[in-house]
Amino acid sequence: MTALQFQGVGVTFASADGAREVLRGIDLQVAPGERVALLGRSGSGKSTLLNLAAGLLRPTQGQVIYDTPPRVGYVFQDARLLPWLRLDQNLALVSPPEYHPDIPSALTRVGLAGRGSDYPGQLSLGMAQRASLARALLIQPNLLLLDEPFGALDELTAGELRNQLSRLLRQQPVTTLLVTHHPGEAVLLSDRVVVLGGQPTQLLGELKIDLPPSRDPDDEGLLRLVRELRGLIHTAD
Amino acid sequence: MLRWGWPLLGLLSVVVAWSLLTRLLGPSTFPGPVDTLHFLNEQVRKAAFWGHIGITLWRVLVCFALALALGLPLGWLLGLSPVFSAFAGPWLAIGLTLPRILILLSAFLIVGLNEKALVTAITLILLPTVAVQVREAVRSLDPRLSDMARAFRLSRTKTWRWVILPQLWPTLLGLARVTLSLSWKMVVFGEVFGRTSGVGYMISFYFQQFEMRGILAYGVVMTLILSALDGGLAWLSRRGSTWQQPPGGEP
Repeated sequence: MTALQFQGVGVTFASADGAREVLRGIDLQVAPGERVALLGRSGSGKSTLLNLAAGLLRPTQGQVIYDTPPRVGYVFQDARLLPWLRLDQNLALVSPPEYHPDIPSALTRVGLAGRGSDYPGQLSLGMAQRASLARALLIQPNLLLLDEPFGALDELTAGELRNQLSRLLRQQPVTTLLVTHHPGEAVLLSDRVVVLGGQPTQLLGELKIDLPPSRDPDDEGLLRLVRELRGLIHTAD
Repeated sequence: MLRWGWPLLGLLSVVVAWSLLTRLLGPSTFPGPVDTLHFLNEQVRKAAFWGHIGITLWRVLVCFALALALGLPLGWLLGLSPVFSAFAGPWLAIGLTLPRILILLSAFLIVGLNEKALVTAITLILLPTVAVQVREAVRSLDPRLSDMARAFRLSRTKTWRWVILPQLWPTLLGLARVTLSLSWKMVVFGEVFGRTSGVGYMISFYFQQFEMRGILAYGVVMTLILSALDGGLAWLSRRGSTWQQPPGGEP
């Protein structure tokens, strides 16, 4: 059974220099509740895959199939909160009214207790990204898309947020696609890592993460998988 | 001080500059504020005075409303469609560069010295400016926020109300202020040439009588009325951008 399926997906963008093929022949199946990390270098079309999954983009070839209509929670690389709305209003905007009473607890879960009346401009980058995560989880998504969610943060804050996200995903299991270029993040937060590369981008290999749900970033088993993943990327290159 | 003190000082400096100019040129050439107020005091008791003010204000608002009603959808289309924008490019270039007096006088010659000609000409004068400003505002909409709205499946109404309109709001209000001011100047100009009522006509009438007090009196009243309208738009603009204020409100 699959929650999400990419079937022979290819994407070609029109550009000033002619057509530019970004993705070719992507076949990928994601099981319900599975967390898949898409790992690749910058510009390898990882975010394009996520945009296809979100329905923001249509494939030029192949198709994207959902088991049930997707209720997408999307955490972008930048928080993309509306600066003219307070945090609680930002969360209320994307969620149905029956979820509105849960907004304070959604903010508390990501460490933003009592900050609902703040405007995004009053928050640090890390706090804004937490709010973005709270927004994505509040709607009880059946498909969570994370596009390098900690890419713009300093390593200390990013590490803190990775652990927090790992905890949240254990509490609220959901089919997840995570885009990252950070092997440690991929192993910490996913059940399977898919390596992307080439020109145009194709699937180059994958690694099953056989670790318990509760993971320690300094655990020897996790570090071994990170080394293995680095080897896989190196071979793919 | 910033809210009331400095603006009041600024107003005072206008009165002082006016008085100095009167002393320099002589009261018969350029009457001072007190003389003008005396004249105005006599005029405001006459129904004809308010009739002229009323008709000018009506023309200003009609041209302003028509320019916005036509210019907003036109600018929106120009911002969204590169094909339409390319097609409309020469039209806009002509509209923006043709001397305004040429459009005004052509309208009077073609349509006649009537209300329709004045309103048509001024709407045509305002339209390219409105359309270009809206086009630029539409082009500068943040596509990342639109993607967020689509990813979270926001309804069209919610996307318009909460994602698009707040981005356009500051430009639209700025544009409304500029258009109102331009509309008023052009209406008065048009009335001088082609109407027998309104502030422009009265200014022309007093000009022929060498009565500078009349010209200044009408100018003062219309400036006060238009400033009040502009103040209302400025207030709306500030209200719409409270989120841009630092925590704790205005400094």
